[in-house]
Amino acid sequence: MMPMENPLLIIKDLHVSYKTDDGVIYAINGLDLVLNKGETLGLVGETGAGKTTTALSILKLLPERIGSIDSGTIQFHDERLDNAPEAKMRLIRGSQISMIFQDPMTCLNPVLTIGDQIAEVLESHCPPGTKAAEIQRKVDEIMTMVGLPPDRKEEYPHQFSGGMKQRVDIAIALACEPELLLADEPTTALDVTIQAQVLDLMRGLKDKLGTSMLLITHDLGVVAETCDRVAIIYAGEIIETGEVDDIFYLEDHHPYTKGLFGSIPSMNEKMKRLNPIAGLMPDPSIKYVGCPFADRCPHKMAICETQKPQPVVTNGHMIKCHLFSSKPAGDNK
Amino acid sequence: MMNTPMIEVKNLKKYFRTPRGNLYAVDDVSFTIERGMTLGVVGESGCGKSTLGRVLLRLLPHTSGQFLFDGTDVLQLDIEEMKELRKKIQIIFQDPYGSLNPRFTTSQSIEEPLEILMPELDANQRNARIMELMDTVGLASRFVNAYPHELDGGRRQRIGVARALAVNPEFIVCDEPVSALDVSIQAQILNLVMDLQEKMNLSYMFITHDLSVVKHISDEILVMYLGQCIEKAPTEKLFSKPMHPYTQALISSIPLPDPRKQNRERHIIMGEVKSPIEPQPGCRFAPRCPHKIDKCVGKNIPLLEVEQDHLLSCVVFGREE
Amino acid sequence: MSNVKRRSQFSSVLHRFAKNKLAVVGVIIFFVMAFGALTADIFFDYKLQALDQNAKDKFLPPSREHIFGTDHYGRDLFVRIVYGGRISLIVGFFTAGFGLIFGTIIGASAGYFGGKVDNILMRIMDIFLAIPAMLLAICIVAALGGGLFNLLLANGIANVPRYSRIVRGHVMGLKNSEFIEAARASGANDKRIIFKHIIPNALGQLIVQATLTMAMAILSVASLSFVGLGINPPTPEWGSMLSTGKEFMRTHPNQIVIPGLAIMMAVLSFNLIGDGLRDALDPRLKN
Repeated sequence: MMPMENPLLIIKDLHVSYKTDDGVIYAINGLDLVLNKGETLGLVGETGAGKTTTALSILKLLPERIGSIDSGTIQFHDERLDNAPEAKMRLIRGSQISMIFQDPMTCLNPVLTIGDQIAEVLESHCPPGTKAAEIQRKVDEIMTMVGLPPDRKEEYPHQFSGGMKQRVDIAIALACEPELLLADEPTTALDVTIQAQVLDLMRGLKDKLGTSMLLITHDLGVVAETCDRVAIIYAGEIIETGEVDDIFYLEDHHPYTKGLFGSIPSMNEKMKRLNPIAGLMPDPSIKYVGCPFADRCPHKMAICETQKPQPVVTNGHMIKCHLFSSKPAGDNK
Repeated sequence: MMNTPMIEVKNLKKYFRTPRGNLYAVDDVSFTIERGMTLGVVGESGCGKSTLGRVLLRLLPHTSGQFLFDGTDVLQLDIEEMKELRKKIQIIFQDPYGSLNPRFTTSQSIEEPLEILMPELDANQRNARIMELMDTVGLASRFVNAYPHELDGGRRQRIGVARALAVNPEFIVCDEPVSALDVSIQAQILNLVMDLQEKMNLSYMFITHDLSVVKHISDEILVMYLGQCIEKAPTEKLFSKPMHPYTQALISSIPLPDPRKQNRERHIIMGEVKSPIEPQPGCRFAPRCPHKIDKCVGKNIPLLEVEQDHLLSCVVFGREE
Repeated sequence: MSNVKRRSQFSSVLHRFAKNKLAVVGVIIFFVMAFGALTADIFFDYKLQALDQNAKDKFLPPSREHIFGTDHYGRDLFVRIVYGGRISLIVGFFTAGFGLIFGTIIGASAGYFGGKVDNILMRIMDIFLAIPAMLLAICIVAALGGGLFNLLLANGIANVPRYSRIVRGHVMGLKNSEFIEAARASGANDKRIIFKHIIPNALGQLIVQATLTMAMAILSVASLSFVGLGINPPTPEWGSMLSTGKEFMRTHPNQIVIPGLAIMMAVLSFNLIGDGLRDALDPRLKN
């Protein structure tokens, strides 16, 4: 795979926190991420790692008054999103960047027909004066594209199954042919055979429309099947990124990545026990010094508790761990 | 040679009455489980796998059929006999959030089965047992007064396991015990469940939709589709040589954590699960099946042993010409 | 291993309750009232100080001897307020208790067993709900005559449907939850499920409803007495005191301010306690 150096989205040193009644939750702690044009980047991590917060920060949809971007920059093309006014964000959302949610019901209005909901997105981003018939034609086109029979456009969301609703979501997200699609666990709520259909659809559409995608998931299988590059997120930081092949086949890894792989039962060989990581994610209400993974790490050293590891990059494969700070991250192939 | 298996389910049926006719949630399912073994039950949502588990525990009444546990038909026992039997049969639930009473502390939750099923224990003995169980499932004793909302999913599920183990059961129905958990926590719970099986010689019926989990934990696998068992085989055999088109589709739909296999040959099936209300005779998978022939519809397809220990309900595959 | 003590439910509820300052204020007001009502006979002579007329002392201003002054018959207002509290507390507790007990039984049976049982019970409750509570109370009092017992009955019956609806709603919502199934898998019978699992989970709302009922019952008795349908003079009751006092409102405002304040404080204290208990009983709202 050719490393493409054509960044569409650059996030630098992002810090996001939630101010709740019980104190401050530090959700994102210095996150760096680059997404190139036309590429699918898998953002992998566990519950509470900050995956969804990252996506919401990009769209500036963090819960009002509670969530805030404390520092860092988010750059989309040449524009800064982190300090963009709401009016401008409204133009960007849906037309240039759109999002698909885990629960397909969350972004469907139960009292509007599917056709109306797709048309609504088109209307709000089309040049004013577009004819109604033209919009309806586009609705049919989009529904066909995501594998929904257009004659079902007069039906309501509750008449569709989970997989069908996710297709409607995808249709709405892609209606304006956005450049960037944020997909937050789009197939987690679906059955495997339906998941396979939806993943297939998303791959096909991405190639057809040239959309870039940030795919948020906890499923390494989904990542292997759909992504070009992978970023592993832990406690609000990217601790490892690289091409899929780097992550899946190289020897050198962040100990957390190793733990993640040790946790999934293999489909190929029979093993007696899994090798998960002991312990839990650190308490997000405490700002840690040093490596966030130190407490659970089997290779913990003295330096891990006092000093934040710096990213070590070898041929585009980045690892943020003190084990690799001294020697360059090996690249055996 | 064992003559009577510990668990024997015969022609079990569970229909729900709905305004549009009977819903065939479990339709003529039979299987056996030997002591110390695990039967995996896989299928997609709505295939009746959870209903099956609940009928066995008599959380739902059955329509017809038998569930023999060491020879006694559990489904015919009266309330007192059933209470006695609940010491031997337990269940672990899917949702570690919903399956614990939000107003019960850890100790109260674990205490409940002891209180009801082992009234011979006094408060001190119960307390000692609670501490012992918490230790067994890897819960630190400092959580004894914690409420469910103060604990993460993994710890809550450990409480669920401790509850099930409290009365020293012999058979546990595990209803998707890890599907609501993160992978690393999921692995911790799977290890726990497998260690316990080895230590206490437990038998499991492990219900899940996750094929990699079921492959990891089961000795034998039963695949369900719309209430029926369509294929049943030892784990190795099922994965190396799946015969039913639905099983083949299920297995090839799993996203593999191996990018180089991205372009492997796959059987993606189109369409979605049909309604299990008043199904027509014939193969229920036929409307989605890529190999459908005329013989598939009109007449029910029996479950036949096509190879040793390998049961299949399909007229296209696995039959002698 | 077992050096960690299990904490009892009661102590943790108490601990959470004590953290709520306003609720504690409510409890203090309540205790002062209850103390007065319970020990009044030790300090005062009911007949002599609360009932007997003494024309020469009428409308005395507040003084050391008569903290709140005296009324138009020369009776000590403070003593009458204290004795009036007795009636208010009895009415409040009885009404809430009556509603709570019967409402819970009816609502829990309707929700848990469903079907026909549910239909019959809830339709009867609907009939009661269709009649405004105050009107129902007036009808009962008008039919059976005034007096404390009939007042209690009227208020109690009027409140049952409210409780049964709350309990039924909770039971319906909870009866299919997984923890109820888990309890049944552990061998729990219907009684245990209703009393150990469902009612405790509905308790927070019931308590709030109960304290609101107490407050409302006090107001309702006061209102009935105010219009002459409740407790009649000379028995000291806040509503009827207010009613008599209104004639002298211009010249002697303390005649209505004092009983008015008493009603207000009683109602306030119950509401504060109710809020505090709801939060304390729900472990999810800890901290």
